[in-house]
Amino acid sequence: MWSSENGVLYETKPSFPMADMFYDEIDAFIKCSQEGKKIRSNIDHVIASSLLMDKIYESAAKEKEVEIG
Amino acid sequence: MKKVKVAVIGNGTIANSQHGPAYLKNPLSEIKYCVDIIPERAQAFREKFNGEYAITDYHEAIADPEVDIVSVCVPNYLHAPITIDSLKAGKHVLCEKPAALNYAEASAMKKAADDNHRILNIGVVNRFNTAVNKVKETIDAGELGKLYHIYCSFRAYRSIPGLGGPFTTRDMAGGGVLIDWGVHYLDLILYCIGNPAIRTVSAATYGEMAKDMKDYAYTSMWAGPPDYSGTCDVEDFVTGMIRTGGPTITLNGAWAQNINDKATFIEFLGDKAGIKLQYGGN
Repeated sequence: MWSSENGVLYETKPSFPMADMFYDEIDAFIKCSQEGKKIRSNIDHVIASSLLMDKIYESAAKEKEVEIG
Repeated sequence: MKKVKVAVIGNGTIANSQHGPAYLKNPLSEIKYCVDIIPERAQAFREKFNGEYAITDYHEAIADPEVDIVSVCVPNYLHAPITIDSLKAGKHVLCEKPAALNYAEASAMKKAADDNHRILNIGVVNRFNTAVNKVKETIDAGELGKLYHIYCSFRAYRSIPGLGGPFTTRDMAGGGVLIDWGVHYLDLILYCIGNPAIRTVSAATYGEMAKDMKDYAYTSMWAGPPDYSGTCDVEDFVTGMIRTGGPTITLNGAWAQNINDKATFIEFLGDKAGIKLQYGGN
């Protein structure tokens, strides 16, 4: 991370323990299915990237910019 | 919470490396069905992860009322039909990424989840990555100031997977490096910046490096070996620019290129600070 303050440049590299994301993904899935809760990996929150990839392929095929209405 | 019974459909690489170990380790789950069209693969998975049954037809698993949840770990073109069948059978589903071959299929999957009041999660595992969530927290706290641009690179030297197989066949994969690797980058960017509305997209794709599959030289090939009798009709390079209601996004992705450099990172540029996130690390 880079920033500046009062004319001074700062560079910081945070250090923190990394969780096991694959375990956490499955654990969150098990729990949210039992509780009936939609969490951050639910299709409702993820479907935007499917639309975006469709539009990337469409733009490439048409060789021009495409709009998303 | 009660222990859930799981069916893992598709017992290939991602099932063996991630889903199987996570279910085995989790005190809230036990694998009942190991499902693969290759019986030996289902059997090996059953033995490795304490499954009850190794079977070849997923319909048998989702018909079992004891099964609560399903992991869908099959090639992309089977994501939608198996996920929809499982949701209609009353199961909660975790489907590997990408959600589907295209947006229409993903929308049909979402509708099946809504109609049947089931949970449908997609394997966007980076949303559970510690570093990604640190970036999101930093952005949400306003520490970058005005976030005006994001650049992502997912480029490798010679890393086309399973040449000639499902990964490189458009009808089976939906695309190449964008849908295979780019989906992770785009998803985590949209996650970190709060899913702003996408306004326009300008992009280009190329399939240059394996036009003649037998001439394609490589350093590694996961999901291999190559099948020279198969098909490679997907992109191995993508570039694009996306305008959103928030920051602009540019991207470059390459399964293979004539630059011997692996560049897998995302840069978030704000007027107060910037962050470079190394993909998969910090």
